[in-house]
Amino acid sequence: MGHGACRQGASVLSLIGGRIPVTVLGGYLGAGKTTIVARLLETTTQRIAVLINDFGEVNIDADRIARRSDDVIELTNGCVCCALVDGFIETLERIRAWESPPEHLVIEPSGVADAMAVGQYAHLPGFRLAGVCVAVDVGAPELLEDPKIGPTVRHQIERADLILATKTDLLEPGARESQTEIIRMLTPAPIIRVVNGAVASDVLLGVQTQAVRIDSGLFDEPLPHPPVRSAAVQWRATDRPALERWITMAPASVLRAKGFVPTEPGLGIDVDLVGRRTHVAEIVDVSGADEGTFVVLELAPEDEPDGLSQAVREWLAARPPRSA
Amino acid sequence: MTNLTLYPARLIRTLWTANPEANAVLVDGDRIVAVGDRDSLAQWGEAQIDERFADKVLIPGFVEAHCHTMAGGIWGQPYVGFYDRTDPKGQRWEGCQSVEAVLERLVEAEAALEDPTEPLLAWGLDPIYFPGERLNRHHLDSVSASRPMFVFHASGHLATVNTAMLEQQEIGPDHPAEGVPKDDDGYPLGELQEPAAMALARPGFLGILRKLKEVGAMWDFGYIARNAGVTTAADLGTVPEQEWDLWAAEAAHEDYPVRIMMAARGHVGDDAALAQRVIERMGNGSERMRFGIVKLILDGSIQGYTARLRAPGYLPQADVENGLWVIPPEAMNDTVAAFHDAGLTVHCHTNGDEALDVFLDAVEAALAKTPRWDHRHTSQHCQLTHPDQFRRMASLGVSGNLFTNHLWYWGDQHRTMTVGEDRAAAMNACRTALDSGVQLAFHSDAPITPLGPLHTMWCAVNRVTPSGHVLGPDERITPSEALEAATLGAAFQLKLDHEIGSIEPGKKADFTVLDDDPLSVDPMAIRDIGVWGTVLAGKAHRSSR
Repeated sequence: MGHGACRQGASVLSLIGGRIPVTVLGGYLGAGKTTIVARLLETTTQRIAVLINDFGEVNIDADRIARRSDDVIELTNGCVCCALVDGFIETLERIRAWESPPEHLVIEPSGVADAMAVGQYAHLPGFRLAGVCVAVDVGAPELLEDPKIGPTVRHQIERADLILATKTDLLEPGARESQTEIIRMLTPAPIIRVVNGAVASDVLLGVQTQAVRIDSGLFDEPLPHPPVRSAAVQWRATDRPALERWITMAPASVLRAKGFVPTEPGLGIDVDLVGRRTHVAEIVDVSGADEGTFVVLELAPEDEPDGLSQAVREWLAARPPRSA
Repeated sequence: MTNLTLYPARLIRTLWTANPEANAVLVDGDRIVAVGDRDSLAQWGEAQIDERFADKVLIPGFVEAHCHTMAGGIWGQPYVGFYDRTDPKGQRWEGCQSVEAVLERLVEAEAALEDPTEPLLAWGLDPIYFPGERLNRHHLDSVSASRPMFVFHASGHLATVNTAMLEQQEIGPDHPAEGVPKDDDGYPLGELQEPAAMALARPGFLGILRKLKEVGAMWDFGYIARNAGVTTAADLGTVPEQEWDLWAAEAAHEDYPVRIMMAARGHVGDDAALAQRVIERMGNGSERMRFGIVKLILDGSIQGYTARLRAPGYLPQADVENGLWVIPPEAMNDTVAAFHDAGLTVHCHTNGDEALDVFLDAVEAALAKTPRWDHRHTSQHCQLTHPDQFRRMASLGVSGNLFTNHLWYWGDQHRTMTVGEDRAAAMNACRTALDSGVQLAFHSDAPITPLGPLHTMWCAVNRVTPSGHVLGPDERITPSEALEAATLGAAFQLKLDHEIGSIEPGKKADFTVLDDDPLSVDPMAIRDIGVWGTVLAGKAHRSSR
């Protein structure tokens, strides 16, 4: 199957879903959320809407972002809590009703928000949750033990799909390791080191199947930080339970995996993995394609300068075989 | 030619120290001219005599300094709460004290709906009172298998829906959202936890939220206030700014029965810009619509285990490390300063003692940077406040608006489920507050508990729980102190005590008309005193109870 067919498959998929993917970018004050969003808007080719709900410190930064995008909405009176929740839901509905809806929605909640709880709004009709990323200032481990906000920050980390470890460049390598290890003890989620807010947009937003070069299978992402690798495989799966068992066995270094895997004529399985989160759903396939494309994104392994880690290669090789 | 009206009364409690008791009040239009002995008022010349309150007791109009105007609109659907409650029309709804009673109420409400597709909504359920049995979709299915149903809980954080609602909104076994607990077979139980999950049942949750914005809801709030004898009520930050004009338009009607102080909600945008908008509004206030205070919410609720507590925190059985912050503590100094520097009054929701510490730190920092007298910043709820904190509040000039209704509605739960006997006895410590020199009011937080200053006073005076326990008898205050807190004390916190809060020459003719004297009845009977209605700016408003 050629490149063109893949593009078609992907667009059909997004048509079937018709739902705007939502990434929540949480993290306490000073963790670097706004810098990450600003860098994302600089580098992505997608049309992204950003909902900012971190008040107090962020307003100046919000202005900075707003100049870069027409689609940044400050959630004035749309606080994601109690009585003002109505305003937040209305904002989501308005975005959904845009004549040309965004390809992706990024929500930057308040620094004390439970980012995963905010992510639950992505289950409203017309949206789907594409991951809850939590930024953590690795240079400020004392926050985790702070009697007032330690529990809040730990809770954010424990519930995240992906951790973005920020400000690591300000630390000596030894301190960087030991402090990353503190986070690792709180969560099995992949931890990505982020410098100056630079994160591959595929990590934040999810793998763009359209954009992936499918022939070679392996390639480097042309991004400065952090190095990620991706691979695409084409296949037709067996039944859903086997696929579900397999997807949960993804090695911890897998940041994201996404794809549409046909099973029987007219049906297929949509797979979306974000760190620890997996979502598997059976959907109607109107593309008629024989095989689907499944893309894996991994943090570049240090011992494998050229490709995916052995664990991920083995995992891919063990995927449920093509049905008879 | 005179427009003076003389109202003789059995007794008038003026709350004016120099003339505390009277038997007549002289009114000119919307203002009080004089109060005192009926004969002494003759020096003002001819007056029309209105005898309708001759056997009544007049007190200054009650001021409710912390409620939410949704207390009116929430009655757009039937009530299934545990305690008796009175709706805006004055109809008393018996409490549903068992799951069966809840279902019976819903069956009646279902039968009253004509359109078979209209969802059945209800409000007020509090499962904390039904520890054995939790309402689920099967219970509701027994009411209707075909009509979508949505029962909103009293906490505002939960709802229970029936199978028809789950199916209509496609909330099935595969639904990925959190807050949708499943049964052993993987099917949703019918409980939806937190707003994101409740919003999945769109006709239910959004249906209720949208009814709150209807014009009828605004009048129903006015009727609720009037029926409780309230002449001024503060909505603490739940009416969004873009709806203020709608409220102002209704409140401009001559017959609208209550004054509203509309607090702006801070920390939901650019605080400095909001402060300027509030200041502009202050210049355009009207007789029944005022601005000038800002609400901040710092932590959650005690019974929801989300209030921020100092050590030792919640009882072990609660199994929670601590509560939640709604505003990051580090952001509080800047947020408070934005309003403090602009000359506005900050009313900060601080249920827990740790949250209060953070608020007081922020006030102290703001005062150090911008010294300001008579700011009247107020801790709202202020429920677990320690003596050291009351002393600090007095030093900083911070008022306390205590949530005394908790002593009754959740007093037993606080003893046994949240903080334990000793701290429950110290909750809403009105005696310590007054003795520390803290300026005091108390509130209902309606619709969280029913609007009703007589009940709120009764709680502060008696501190009795439904099981008959007296929570911290040493923290009781006198009926006289309670009456002051419910009138002049609350008016002070809204910076309206020069206009309302006492019956005094030159002030607004705002009275609460009672069947009996709250200072001489048996203290346990204070909450049972009948409310005839109110006089608002010289105009009588009869209760529909």
